[in-house]
Amino acid sequence: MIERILIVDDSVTARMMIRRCLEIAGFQNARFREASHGKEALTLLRQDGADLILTDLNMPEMDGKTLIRHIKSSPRLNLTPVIVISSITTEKEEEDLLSHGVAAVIRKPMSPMVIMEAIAAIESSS
Amino acid sequence: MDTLSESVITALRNAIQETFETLTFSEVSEWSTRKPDLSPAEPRIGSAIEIRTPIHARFTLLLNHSQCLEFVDTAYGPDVAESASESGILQDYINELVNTIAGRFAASLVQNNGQLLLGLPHAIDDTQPTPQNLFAFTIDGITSLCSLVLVT
Repeated sequence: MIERILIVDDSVTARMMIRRCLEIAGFQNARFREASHGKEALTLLRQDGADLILTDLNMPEMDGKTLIRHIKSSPRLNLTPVIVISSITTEKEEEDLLSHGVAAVIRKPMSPMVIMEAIAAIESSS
Repeated sequence: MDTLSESVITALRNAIQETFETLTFSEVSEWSTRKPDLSPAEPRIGSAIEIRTPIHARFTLLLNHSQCLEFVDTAYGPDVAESASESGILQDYINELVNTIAGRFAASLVQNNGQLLLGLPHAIDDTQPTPQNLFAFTIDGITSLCSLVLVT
């Protein structure tokens, strides 16, 4: 059950948009936390984990791909589903991310329906 | 001045249309390469981003300040829009627009197994439009500007 959601994006408005999409998609009662880059996200994850992580790729301090590598190499975090939400994904990039354990890749700008479908697919496969 | 190919211009135009339609629920119209008559006193807000691959260029977006506030109001409500200028959310919003447009534009140009690399969007202080590769477009009757300058 998804109760703790971590949103990682250097843009405040992008994080607000993602959260709004998640609330519309039915997660209005989830506990949301936000990070503006990968380093901050890792700190939050090490404190309290998450049931779902949504991350951008292009961020300062620590980018999304590096964050994903850290998550997937952590025995404690590597089963946490990660959804990438980014404007800089190509087909090859998407295949690469999925082969490295990312659960779904969504291109910006996203809609609540697309996020809902991605999470439904994650929940049905777990 | 480096001239942009038609395919590049079309890709940019498509990225701008798709992004504004999805993020602002507004339609882009009257795309033009002619520098429009702009009131010099009209306040604008701008953002720029470096596109590193598949082309090396700088993309800049200049929006009418009031219209940008309306976009924030539509997306996030009046509570957020009220303090958007002071809180930095307005700048963050246009930065995110630029990031999304540049990403979609660059992704459409990637061929075969090419890479896509962007810098981070940032505010620009000088909101006077430069003439190089300048495009004007209209949203709800208000003119916005963008430019794509190739880096050589």
